[in-house]
Amino acid sequence: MSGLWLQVLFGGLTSGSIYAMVAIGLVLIYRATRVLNFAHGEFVVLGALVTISAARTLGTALLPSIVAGVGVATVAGVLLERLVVRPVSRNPHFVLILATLAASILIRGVMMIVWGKDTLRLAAFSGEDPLRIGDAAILPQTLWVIGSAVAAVALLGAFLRHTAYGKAMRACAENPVSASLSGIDVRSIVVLSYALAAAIGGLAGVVIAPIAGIDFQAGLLLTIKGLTAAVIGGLENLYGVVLGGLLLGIVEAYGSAYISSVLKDALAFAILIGVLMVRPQGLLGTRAR
Amino acid sequence: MTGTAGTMTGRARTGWFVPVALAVASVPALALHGSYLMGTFSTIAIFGIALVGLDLVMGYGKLLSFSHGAFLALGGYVMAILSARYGVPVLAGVAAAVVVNVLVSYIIARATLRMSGYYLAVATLGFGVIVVQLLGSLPDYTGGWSGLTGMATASLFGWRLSTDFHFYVAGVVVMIGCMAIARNLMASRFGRAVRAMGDDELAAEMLGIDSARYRIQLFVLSSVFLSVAGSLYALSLRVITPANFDIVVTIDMVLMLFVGGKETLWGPVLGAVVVRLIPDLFESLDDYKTIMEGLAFLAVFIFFPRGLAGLLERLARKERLPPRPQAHRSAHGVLTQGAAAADRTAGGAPLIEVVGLAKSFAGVAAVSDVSFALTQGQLKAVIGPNGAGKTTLFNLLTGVLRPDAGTIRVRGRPLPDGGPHEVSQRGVARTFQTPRLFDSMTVLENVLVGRHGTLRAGMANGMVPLAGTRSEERQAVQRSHELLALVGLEAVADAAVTTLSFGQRRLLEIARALATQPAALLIDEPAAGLNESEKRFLGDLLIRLRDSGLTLLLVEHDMSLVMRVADEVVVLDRGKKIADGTPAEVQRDRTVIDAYLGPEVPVAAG
Repeated sequence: MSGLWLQVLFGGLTSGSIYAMVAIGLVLIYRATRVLNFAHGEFVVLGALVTISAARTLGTALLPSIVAGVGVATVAGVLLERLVVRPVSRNPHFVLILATLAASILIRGVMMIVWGKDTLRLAAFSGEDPLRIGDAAILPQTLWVIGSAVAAVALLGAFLRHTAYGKAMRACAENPVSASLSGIDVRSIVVLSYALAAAIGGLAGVVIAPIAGIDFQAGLLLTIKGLTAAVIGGLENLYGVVLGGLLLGIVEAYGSAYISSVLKDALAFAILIGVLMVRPQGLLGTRAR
Repeated sequence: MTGTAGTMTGRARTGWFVPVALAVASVPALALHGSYLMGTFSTIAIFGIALVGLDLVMGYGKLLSFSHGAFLALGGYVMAILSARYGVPVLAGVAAAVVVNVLVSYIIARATLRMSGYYLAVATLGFGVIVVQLLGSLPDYTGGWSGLTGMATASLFGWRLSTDFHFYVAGVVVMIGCMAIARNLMASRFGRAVRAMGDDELAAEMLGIDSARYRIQLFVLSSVFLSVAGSLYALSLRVITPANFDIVVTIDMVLMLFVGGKETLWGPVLGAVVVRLIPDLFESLDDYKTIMEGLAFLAVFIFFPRGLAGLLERLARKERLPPRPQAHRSAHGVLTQGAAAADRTAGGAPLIEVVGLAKSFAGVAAVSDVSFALTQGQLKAVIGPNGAGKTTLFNLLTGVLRPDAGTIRVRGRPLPDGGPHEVSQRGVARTFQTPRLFDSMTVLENVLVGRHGTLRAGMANGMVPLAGTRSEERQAVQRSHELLALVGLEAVADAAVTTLSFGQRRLLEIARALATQPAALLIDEPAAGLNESEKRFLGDLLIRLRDSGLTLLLVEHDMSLVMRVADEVVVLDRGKKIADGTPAEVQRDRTVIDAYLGPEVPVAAG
């Protein structure tokens, strides 16, 4: 009994970590351009698929494949900003986010042509033998996932707090006009935000690929889950959305273990709607007026 | 009077819209009868119905809602379950589907009402996923993921719907009806309110439009269109599965709407034709369908944001420049029928009375302990340096902000606390520092939105306008022309507001505020950005308004204008009132000179 409880907790932390990594990217982009990026899940899928293909060609060495996957996702992030968001940036936000939705359809179409419609999988980083913790059996890959999320959050936090670029990013998020007046190149900060966000998304795809099979259309649901986590957390606050992601993952895990696995997604959105009805600005968000 | 131009042309055109639409629709019916493409066309017609509903919320209402797939699904499933499991006749099933969708959409609208923009988008997206999953996981009722079969064949008045051709005919008839209804509605009082909200919610509220109420009505109405479309869709598919209403379908519908052109009559249908027909014509391209969709969608956003219908409209119509306006000064009696003159406050009591008003932002006092009174028929000016709290004062007086302390009384009663629309209904109108017009509308329509509170027509009257509604509308149009004449914009009544000069935008905003028949008009820095002759015209206008009995409160930096028109002046400095009196008294006041006017004022001239 207690073994199941612990096992489910790890399952929840694993998917929660992925949701959190997707949500962090969404928040970075939101803070830089006030755009909800509906193409964000595509970065995750792209990172995973490129890594899988690279691992097949390169053979044993996994690290170069991961670098390739994350790198391609990063480039996709920069291209999204330059080719899609920037050309329409003078339109209302409404149009901006629908443009990212259009981009997501395009990226998905390209991925379908390149990788086909089959579900692909990556070999686990440290084998498939489960670790025993008490009565629970835990796949080593789940530790990679959780570890990557912790590392991503910690590094990003340090970057934002301690480096000049990070401080400039925070300044732009607060007030782009005055940031620009104090000599910050807002344009390059925006590009940096998209690149970082896409890189974190790509990494999420790479680490989850051995556990969950990835196909060309997995991105949409990831986007929706990431958005849910981001909105639960309050959209602006990095730690809030990490909390939102973990909460979402854990509730889903216990929900599908103890209530019904089919209703897992429904439960997630029920929580979202519940949170928003009580706190329309999200858990750690501040009310904008 | 040029009479019923502008907004009314939309309605006049509906007269021949129906025959034209039927003629167009008969082409595929005759040409493709028996072809496999007939099925595609029946789906196009059904999606056309759904898209007209989606356009109401997403196009005109500018609400980013992704719940339409869910309403399509609920509509289809309620009808199908009643028919397949309980043998309910199809038409009764459709009626039940409408009832269920009305209830559900009302609840969803209430629940998400407080959410803005993105939060609404994600919450409604979530709702869409929940509905599809529930449908899939309740196999006892819905047939689960493998689908629901066994619906009866629909028969309408003895005519059985069994082939693609039948569904095409039924779909087209319903679709054209829906298009006509939506068209009427969007040209009506209801539609103007919705479009105004979509353009600028605060400005709409300030004209007495209860945006929360209209948002709910719009949402519910759209779900009715979607239940009808969903029922027809289910009937035409014969076997429905939750995947037919998946989130991908929801997104496809958004794509169709934007490709076709939102907020246009033909856009929804055009979008459905393009997005549905092209892939079916080139079946060999199936693998590239998604890429093509993505490219088409992106191209629309980047190159022609108004979609195909917008593009065609632009090609068809040569741009005409509106004639330059002539300001004319003889508009006597325009205001005498308004509430301004009709309002008789008993015994000279103040119209607006402010006592001990205070408001601070993050510890900084924007307004502190301000008291003054505005009596009937008075023109009072509020002056003070930048940051003195003038605009905050206006926002407090109009219910945009709530005071931390103090009271505001209008005609002896406390200011209503339900937001700006209630303040407007109480007879207080305002203009903004930078004019906030409804940019998707004509000059005349902007003023007509101002008439909102004086008109009665509701949603049903808007869909099918009967004699009473039409005559009410005619009077409103006439009255709006009079107000435009008053501010010298009559000649540009039918121009798009985006073509107006800055000065004209200001005057239009004043006319629009006057259209609400206010007892008091609050004007925020009207002279800013105007040239000398425009300022003179504005000053004359303010005096004429005051002389006709209107009470005015004016925030203004232009001292010569203030000294010329104001009966009394209140001076604010750093949130506090430092003087209150006639212009002459204020000009001599030591504190005022030190704080604001400075020693060398343009007083000597006056």
